[in-house]
Amino acid sequence: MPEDAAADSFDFEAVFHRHYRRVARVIFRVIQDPSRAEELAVEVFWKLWRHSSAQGPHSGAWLHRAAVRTAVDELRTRARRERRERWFGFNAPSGDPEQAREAAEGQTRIRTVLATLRAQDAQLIALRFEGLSYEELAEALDLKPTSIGTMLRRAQESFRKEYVKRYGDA
Amino acid sequence: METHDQLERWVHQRIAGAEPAAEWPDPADGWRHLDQRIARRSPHRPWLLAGATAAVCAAVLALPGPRVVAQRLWDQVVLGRIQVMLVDYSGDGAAAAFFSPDIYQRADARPVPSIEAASARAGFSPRLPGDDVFAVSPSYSVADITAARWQLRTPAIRYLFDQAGGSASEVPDSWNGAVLEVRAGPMIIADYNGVLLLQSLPFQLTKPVDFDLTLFYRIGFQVLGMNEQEARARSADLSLSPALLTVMPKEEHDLVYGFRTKSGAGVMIHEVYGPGKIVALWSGADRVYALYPDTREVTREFVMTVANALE
Repeated sequence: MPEDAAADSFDFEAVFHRHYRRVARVIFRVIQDPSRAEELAVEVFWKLWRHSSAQGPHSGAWLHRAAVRTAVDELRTRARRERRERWFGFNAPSGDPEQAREAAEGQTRIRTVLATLRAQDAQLIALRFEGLSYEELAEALDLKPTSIGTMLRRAQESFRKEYVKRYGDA
Repeated sequence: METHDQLERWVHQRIAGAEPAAEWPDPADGWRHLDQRIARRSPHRPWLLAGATAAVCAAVLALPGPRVVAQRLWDQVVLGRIQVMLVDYSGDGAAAAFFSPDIYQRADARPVPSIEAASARAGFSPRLPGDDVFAVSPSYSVADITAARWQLRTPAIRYLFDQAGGSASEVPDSWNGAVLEVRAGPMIIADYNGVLLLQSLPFQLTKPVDFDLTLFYRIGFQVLGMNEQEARARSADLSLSPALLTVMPKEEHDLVYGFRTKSGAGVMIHEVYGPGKIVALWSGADRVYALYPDTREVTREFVMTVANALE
């Protein structure tokens, strides 16, 4: 089937199988939680199912946009929840060496750093890592193609600055 | 000075540190979860809708099991109306079985999220009654094409016609092996909380070039017990106004109720799918409709209200 073809021949199941893995991996890239990423990927396709206006030749871009927004929203919700739980003492830092080691692991680092960035910066970084071209990034995030290079570089610089500040240049 | 490529490589090296397995995630798992979620939203699971669609198509293409004697003949190139013909049939079922088509392609109904999606998938826009007819908004599904094929065997037709008092020589040699095919759908299903309104563009009949449908109808009617004079009159009518034809035995006349709408005609068949159940089939300007009460019962008056609200 051609790229999502036209709306009048939209094959939802084929689109699902073509994009599901990438959608899930984009979400995973941001939240670093495979189980939750799978749940949210299904959620994204559920939204596509309900929005017939998104079903058509641009459904791929729509999915990328929805995936990365869903992921960043999830990340921020988690961060807020964790702050709230710390505030109320539900999850106070224990000083446990095992927990400290876990906190140092890559998944937590990425999640933590992305959560501090502007939403659009996190979205750009996650989608770019999944191999989207500048044109695809522009379409997915509804940005000007001519601005993508600059915006992506700024986002990546912000990521590095935050990462190095927290974990060093390792 | 650092290039953008170097910066990007640095970022990607950090992100790649937590790379999932190449085959992760499994799309089959994802699809199963999504399918479950879609099914939960719909009042009926997809297989139920498919079953309902098949049942309604079966009402058109072949009557269900308990009424094996009641059968149907076919039709014309464009089958824009539906007609039930009661015949005085007392045979042993051989003729009825002989006239049964082979439904070789059954409709696969799938839920769609909106009326726009239903229109796009079916290729036409559904006509729906006003909000005052049903108290609820419908959910939608679209069933693919149902197709039935009927391959003629001249020796068998000649035998049956002879048994019915006809002249076997009237059955043309050219009929042997001829294939008639009816295609119904796609069909849009609007599910009003257990009452399904189905609609399709007129059904299509494919027949061999020069195939004499009028003769075919007449022979069929005689085989099913109609006298020659009446069979000739009925077949002539049908050749002028093609119809999807349902033939039922006369002793079941109390189950069949014909009705007229503002723009067409139809029939309600009682108790086809259980006590109290009415299946209604009718035609409009360029549509074939069916009302199938899946989980609720409907009255004749309600069928009429729905039918008249559509055109």
